[in-house]
Amino acid sequence: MRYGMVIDQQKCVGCAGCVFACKAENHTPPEINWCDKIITSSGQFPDVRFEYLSTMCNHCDDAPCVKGCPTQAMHKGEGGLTLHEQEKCIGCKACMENCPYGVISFNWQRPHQEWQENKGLAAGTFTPSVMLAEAGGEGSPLSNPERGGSYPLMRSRGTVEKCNFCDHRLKVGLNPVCVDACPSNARVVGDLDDPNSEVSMLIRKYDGKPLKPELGTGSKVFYIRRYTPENR
Amino acid sequence: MDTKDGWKLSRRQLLLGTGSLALASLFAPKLIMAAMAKAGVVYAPGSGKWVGTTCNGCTSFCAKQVYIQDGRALHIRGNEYSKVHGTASCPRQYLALQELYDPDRVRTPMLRGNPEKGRGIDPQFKSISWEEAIKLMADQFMALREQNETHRYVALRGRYSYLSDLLIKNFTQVMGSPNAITHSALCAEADKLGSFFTEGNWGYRQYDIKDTRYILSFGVDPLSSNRQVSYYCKEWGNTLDRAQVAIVDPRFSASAAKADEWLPVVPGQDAALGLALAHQVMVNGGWHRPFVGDFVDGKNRFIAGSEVEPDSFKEQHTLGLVEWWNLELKDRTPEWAAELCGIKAEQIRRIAVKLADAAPKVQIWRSRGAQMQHRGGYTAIALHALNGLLGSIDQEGGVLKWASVPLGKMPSSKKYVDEVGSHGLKMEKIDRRGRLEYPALKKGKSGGGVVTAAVAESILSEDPYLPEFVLGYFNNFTFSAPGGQQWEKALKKVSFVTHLTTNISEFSYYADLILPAPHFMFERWGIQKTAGNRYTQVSISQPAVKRLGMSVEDECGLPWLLAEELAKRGFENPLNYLKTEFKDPETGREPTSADEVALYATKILTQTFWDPAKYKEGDHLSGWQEFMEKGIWNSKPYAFRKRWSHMKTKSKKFEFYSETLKYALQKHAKKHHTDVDGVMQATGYLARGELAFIPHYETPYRFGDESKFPMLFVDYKSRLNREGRSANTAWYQYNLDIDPGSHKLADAAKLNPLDAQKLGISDGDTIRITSLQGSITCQAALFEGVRPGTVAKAFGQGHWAYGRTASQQFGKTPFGGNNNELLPPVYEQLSGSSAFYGQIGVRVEKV
Amino acid sequence: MKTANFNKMLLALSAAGLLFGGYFALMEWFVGPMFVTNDALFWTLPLVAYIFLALTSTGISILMTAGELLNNKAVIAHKPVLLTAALSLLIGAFAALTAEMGSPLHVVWLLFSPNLSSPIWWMGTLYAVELLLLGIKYYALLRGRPLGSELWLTSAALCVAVAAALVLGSVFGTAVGRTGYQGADASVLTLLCALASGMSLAPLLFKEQAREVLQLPGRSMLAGLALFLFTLYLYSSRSTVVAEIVWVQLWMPLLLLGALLAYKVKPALSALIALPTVLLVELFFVIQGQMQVLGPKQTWLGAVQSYMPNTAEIAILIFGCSVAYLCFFLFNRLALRPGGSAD
Repeated sequence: MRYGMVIDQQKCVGCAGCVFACKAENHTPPEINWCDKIITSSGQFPDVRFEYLSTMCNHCDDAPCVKGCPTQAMHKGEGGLTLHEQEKCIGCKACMENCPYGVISFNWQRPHQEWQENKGLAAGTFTPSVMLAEAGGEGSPLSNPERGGSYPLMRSRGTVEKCNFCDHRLKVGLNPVCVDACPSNARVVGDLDDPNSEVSMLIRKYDGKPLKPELGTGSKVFYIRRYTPENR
Repeated sequence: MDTKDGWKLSRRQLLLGTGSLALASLFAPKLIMAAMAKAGVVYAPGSGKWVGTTCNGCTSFCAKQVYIQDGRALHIRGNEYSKVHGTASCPRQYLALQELYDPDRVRTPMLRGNPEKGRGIDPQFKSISWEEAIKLMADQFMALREQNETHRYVALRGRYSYLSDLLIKNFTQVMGSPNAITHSALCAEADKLGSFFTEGNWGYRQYDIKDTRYILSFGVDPLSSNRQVSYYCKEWGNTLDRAQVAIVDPRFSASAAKADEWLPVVPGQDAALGLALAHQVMVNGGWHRPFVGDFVDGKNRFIAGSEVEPDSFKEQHTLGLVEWWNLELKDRTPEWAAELCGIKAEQIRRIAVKLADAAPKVQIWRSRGAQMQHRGGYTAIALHALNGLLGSIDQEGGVLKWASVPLGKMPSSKKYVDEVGSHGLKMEKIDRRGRLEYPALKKGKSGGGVVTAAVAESILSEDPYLPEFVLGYFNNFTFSAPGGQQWEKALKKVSFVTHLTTNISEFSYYADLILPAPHFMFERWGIQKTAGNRYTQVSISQPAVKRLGMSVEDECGLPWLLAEELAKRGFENPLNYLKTEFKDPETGREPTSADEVALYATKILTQTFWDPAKYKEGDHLSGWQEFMEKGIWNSKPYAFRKRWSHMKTKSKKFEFYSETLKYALQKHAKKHHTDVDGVMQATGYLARGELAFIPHYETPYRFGDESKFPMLFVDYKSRLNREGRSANTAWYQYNLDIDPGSHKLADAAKLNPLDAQKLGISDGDTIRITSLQGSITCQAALFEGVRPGTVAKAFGQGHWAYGRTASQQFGKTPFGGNNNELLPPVYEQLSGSSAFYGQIGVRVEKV
Repeated sequence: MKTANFNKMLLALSAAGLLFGGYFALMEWFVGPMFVTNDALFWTLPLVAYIFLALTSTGISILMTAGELLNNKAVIAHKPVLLTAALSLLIGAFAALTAEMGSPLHVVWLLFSPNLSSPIWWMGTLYAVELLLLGIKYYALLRGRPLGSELWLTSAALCVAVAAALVLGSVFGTAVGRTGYQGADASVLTLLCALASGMSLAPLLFKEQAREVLQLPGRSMLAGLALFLFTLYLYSSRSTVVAEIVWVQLWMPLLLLGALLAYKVKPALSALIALPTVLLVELFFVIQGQMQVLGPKQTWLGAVQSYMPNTAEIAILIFGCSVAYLCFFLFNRLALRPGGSAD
């Protein structure tokens, strides 16, 4: 079993639904996106192009971040996933240096600390801490306890974090949340080892390519077709 | 203490097997998790519950399901039972979560302490109880009744659900005020005008993109906004396999990025392009014969510059094609248009061929931008006429209307109006609708529509009168209406302003009383409908989580609370109305609380959907329980071509020569003892005579002299806008770069690098944009996807209130600038629609 | 007299530096981030301060251990001062590193769940071992008589020092997908930097009359680094890879040649030129690989980064250096006190 993903660029409409679903699922602070994007604008008026490329951890078979991590915090897990163990992370940033895709983020600040503030805008408004107390939740009202079962909801300052393919959801047979949230069904997750899985078939049919294949990292997120229509 | 320290401790425990319990308590969350695990509370992924509700983030009104886990809303998706969009969705739905848990939300009713009102002046709000708040409002109502001036109560509605009629219309009626003022004229009335005066549909359209071959969109950015974004996001990539797409827009939109062609039209000149396309289609003989008809002898006589004998053409389901040609189209050559609209003649010709090739599986989309202009009414009609010409109306792959659905009506409150009330109801409405200059021809009726933004003007000039008590609900006209500054002045003049709102907005800042509103999507009842994918759906909002703070049901609950208090003071009609007319259709019980009125009203309006005894069509549901659980009802599939020659126009046909408009204009003229030319003049149109009844070109009105304001401003909607309400969420601010050319964490005005170079502006510079109306400061973003000579900026930023994230300094300094402070308070007067677009002259300079 | 005053001044400066730098280190440990770092440019001057101090320590260790093994009298005569210098510099390096990593304990935890394929683990471990070995040697020094296994200890210290310097380079050299980092030349660079900075500092630790022994190796090391940098310069300035940001600049080898020329007559001047140059070489090298923003971080930070250290980062460099000097002072005092055996 080797989990992989296919992203159909023609179906993708660049809405970032995946980004927000990921934030909601994984309780990432505002300035950290596990699921993120590369945006490119090119051309000159009026021949302009704009492309949106959804990115996340590529869960490389030969993951440079795993090799570089001194403490095995970054490690390979079941199904070929590249996982991160918060508790072992010492914040050396070796994984960030080694990741050729720029998809690992560092908690420079203590995440979600804005919810500790107890100042409101007026006498009758909420304050962050009152909202947190009234709504509930660990660290912020948006923290998802389902995620908290296998990864701390409140990450420590001075540690890294990144996409882990929603390993907690895969474990119970659910798709990563970005896959379910995509309105265009542009994302498919499945077993790359199974030649009959949808991902394998799509990669074959459309000659899917991962990012920076020349590096030989064995990254497992494949892209098919074009964001911009062919006859542009 | 920092969790970091806790982390250290846990680490030490892990590694060294030491660590005292006292120290470990610093690592509280871990302990909680451990305690929960011990207590058997395990949150298995997927073990939460999906609750049906509806999104009001934009006019797509998608049916949703909210994922509830641990009592909190954690995810949102499209409603799986929806036949329109299924689980598909859009990005802005997620921002609703941050709206719900916005730490700046209003928690309790608040009363102004400082009588002086103004931007930057602290209102000194203090927290009060609901009892106090309701008493204050009742005082106002009773005083107006005693003065026999109930018309001086004005209810303003912004975003709303179908339940809102209770608060805005019926309750206002019982209170004796004619002033139930909706926001519709800020929304899209000019758009409805286009389809009404051609095919008799005062409403929106759905586009059958699954089966189309050509999409030509005038300003619509369906992947971002207006209407059914979810459905179009879902299908767009598949449509690209079958159809070509051309997007007409002065700025390169998200949809333009996913289109075959981008036509960067000169702002305000969409009609020139549309008319030239119509001209060329006709010259090429490309009209759709089964719908439009043909020359009697089958020979095309549409030759540029020459008139055609009316009798030589026999129309099928349309009216007045030859008149249209003779009066207007014959001279509207691609060359004529190219000079005006900035699109090359050869490109117009090429597209005309493609349109005809694909007809009738073509769709001409039109958006606010192309039509909500001072002289935009005829653009709306012209662009829609193009659909008629290509025969795409009611066809597979063409343009469909929203099917009408058997949604119930709010029980009438007419008989609960007493003498005082009837006196008030006879007064002129505060928005001046129906005056000569404001025909507001909703469904062709003079004064049938609303002129939302005129209310500010009326207050300022006390014409027809000065309101004393204004209730604003789910609105922020000081921010969302063009010429917002005018609203700020107007609200200062009103002696008692109440605002029912989730956040202290720019409107609330002028309020005397603020009432906490529930979040539409998660905390209250509501009803919405939408259409797409050949279906129309009705979905409900319902309380999915415990209401936060002290908010109450707004659209139905507030009337109940007021009615109770008014009854105590001897005015019992409102309470009688609610008790008598809002009985639970299942049990027949009278409502006894604000929540129950809301629940029963929802049941009453939707009874035809859930009550098997009242079943009419569409989804079969077993009862209220099932409806509530699913949260949605779907219509039967669309019936194609059923309206051909049965349209709700005067002639029953699709009218290129609009008998319907002629009738409406003549009637309005007669009311004011003038002729149609007089109406044209009063409403700012240049057409005279017969031209008033056909789609024709109007020279766009330029606001601001070209010498002083050399550039043109283009307002648009960000993909992340939940109308004006999402700017206080971090997810909005941090992800704005998904709009082509925009920047994160900034209010970016996009300039073409050529213009920027001339102005000495670099990417990221702070710039000032000035129009005749006002001046704003924001950040420059250099982007090739902007027509040189224009500056494009999304509405949504520039809040100086609303919250700490939305504003630079709450109550004082905006973050960026509000477009509406640049836009003049002018109208497309035939519909009453505010004119956000067109040729808005601006000057841009580096600060 | 003059020297004593100079030493006092250095001591006062170091104490001030400890307070100044210590403040920022404490802030970094307990309050929040103060550096001009971001998700693309995460290794900046504080890490370079570590690298610089660690490599200088390594250079001195190599000199000391090699001299010992080769039975060089001059070196053996200066063993105590070399040892305390190497040890102090390494402690200073770790002090800077704790600030860079946001916590003193992070550095310690590195050792406990090893990943043998990680250059950082090896680097950290080797330097920890080096610290330990130097510590044992210092203990022996304090005890006043050599340990039974002194030869083994010395050999091990030499091997570990060379390996640590090489492995430090491989932290960068093994990164795939970053222009300018890949390749064995990174290890060559760090080893040469270690030797050059160590040998630049060495004359200042030696009695004037004993410095002769340093001349050939010292100048060779400076020449070696200069030659290496010059070669890199020629190579990279001819590079046609567009994305490659050239970091080697001509002034680097030229300044090193200047230091080389002054090495014999004005060793202090030579060190004053060579040490900052080596520091800058290391800084430019470390920053360069992070200039190009990778992947989605571009949407946050733009495509290319620029870097200028801020006060907090400079403070950490000062902190590391101050800790090193104070340790050096203290260790020497201890070693030289009556009953101590040194000299």
